[in-house]
Amino acid sequence: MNSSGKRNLVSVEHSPAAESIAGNEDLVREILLRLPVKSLLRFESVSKKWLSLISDPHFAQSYTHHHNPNYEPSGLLLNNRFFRWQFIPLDDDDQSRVNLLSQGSVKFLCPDDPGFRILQSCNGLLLCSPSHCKKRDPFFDCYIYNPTTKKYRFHRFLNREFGATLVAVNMVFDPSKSSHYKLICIREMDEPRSEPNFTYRIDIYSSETDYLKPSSNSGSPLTITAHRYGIYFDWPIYCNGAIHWYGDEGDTSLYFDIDTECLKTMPMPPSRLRGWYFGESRGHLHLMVYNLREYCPTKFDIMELKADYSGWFVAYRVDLDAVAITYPEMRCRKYGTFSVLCVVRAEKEEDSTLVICVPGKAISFNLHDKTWKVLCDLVPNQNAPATIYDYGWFDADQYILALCHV
Amino acid sequence: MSLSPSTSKMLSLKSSDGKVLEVEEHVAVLCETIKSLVEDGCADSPIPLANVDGATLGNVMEWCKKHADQKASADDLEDWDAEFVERDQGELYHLIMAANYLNIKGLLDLICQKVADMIKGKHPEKIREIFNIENDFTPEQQEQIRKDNSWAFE
Repeated sequence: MNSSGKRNLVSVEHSPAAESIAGNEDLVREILLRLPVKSLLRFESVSKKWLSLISDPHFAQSYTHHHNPNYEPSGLLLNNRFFRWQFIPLDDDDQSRVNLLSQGSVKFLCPDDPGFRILQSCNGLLLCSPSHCKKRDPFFDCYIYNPTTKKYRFHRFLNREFGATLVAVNMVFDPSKSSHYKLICIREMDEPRSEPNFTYRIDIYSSETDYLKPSSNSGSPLTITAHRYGIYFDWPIYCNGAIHWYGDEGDTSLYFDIDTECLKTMPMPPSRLRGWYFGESRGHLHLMVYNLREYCPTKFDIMELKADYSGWFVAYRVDLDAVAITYPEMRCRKYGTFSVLCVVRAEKEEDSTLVICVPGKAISFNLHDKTWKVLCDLVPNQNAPATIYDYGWFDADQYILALCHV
Repeated sequence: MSLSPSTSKMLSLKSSDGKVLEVEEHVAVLCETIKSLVEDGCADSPIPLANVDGATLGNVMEWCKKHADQKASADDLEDWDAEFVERDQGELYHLIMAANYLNIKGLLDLICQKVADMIKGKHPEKIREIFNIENDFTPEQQEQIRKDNSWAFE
């Protein structure tokens, strides 16, 4: 019998009701929604109709809504020296999501996988750059990678273009607004130059139009003037429709509204020693801050940006002494030998946690009841200066289960 | 005459194969389709359900009766549901069609999840067999899709 031909043998399992279901798109969709990703991708090859149902962006959105409605991270991906990464599981209690994840190991399946650095994570997509990519190359290569489907798309940008040099590429993916993503290219202009300040221009690539266009303010390309090393364009945080760039103390932090393409400044907490954490969780922007008057490495505040950007307030007063009893080296040296990798806000506020890294371990610390547990062992980061800590927040990217087609 | 303290009115439902089932109204209105008929005052005579056979209708009403029971706890319902879906594939497919036609979201969710659990991990060829779907890809297209999703076939 020809396998591609219409079958005339009635199989044991076949029933007319099953055939009626197959003929009803709504019902097929309902069943597909409840499958693990691996089966879903397998079933793309059942028929043209199934392929089109599964690859429909609306279906992808419903699928994510069914399995991970709040785009919660299931883990953190930690970059380390050899352009490899390590997975830190966060939700060992949530069996369904862990099952979905464990169906495929967390690794790239790009041809001749040379190793990658994750530059950014945004609502289920990762922006990665291959290990061979160097600043002096004529091109900047990157991949938009969906670890859920293990599918990716390649992008290449000119390092020198428009009389400017590429400084950073940021990604914006917000499925609540669009199933397409944008890449924000930040370039340092050759002119005008008035050290120590530099002028930057912003260009935006959209996967919807497959086109790179200058971001514009009344017709001319949008430019920013800022201290060269003051703004961390490499560590963008997407939150509530805008990309946020951390600014060093004394400098201003910036945010760029994606819809209006408006660049604005945001205040930073004054006259306090900033710790080394800037991140987002459930639409809240967080910053780690030490109190200079009673400085102690294991005591600090997690501040949150007010929704109207008018200032910061203390969201959590953190005291890690309970952890430091087991890991006394946390109290050593000026900044301690630990780092904050991620603030993870939970659906129930009392489940919100802080993920920290102490030598050799990733630890989850409950921000309310102060209990803590070891999440996993960490391989040493041979990239980091051994004097401070193994990994910083910029090494950790959220791993979010989301079906999106790239 | 029922001795049940319930004062719920009885509705009669007529299946596609002519069987008539007497069901308490508060149970039958778990079916949105029947609920709107009742609300519109069109539910006097036996309600004809042209797309549901007698055996399936019996199963559907068994589920509705359990879920209309105010005394049943969430845990209790979960255990009961788990047992309810332990039946042969043919019955499950009939239940999906009926839950869809009668518009019972809870039952539809339950059976769809069961069917998804049943077919997950199967080979596409097996899926075509179960649902009698024609493979309309050329071998080249088929190969390409499979290549794009190679990890899913590991």
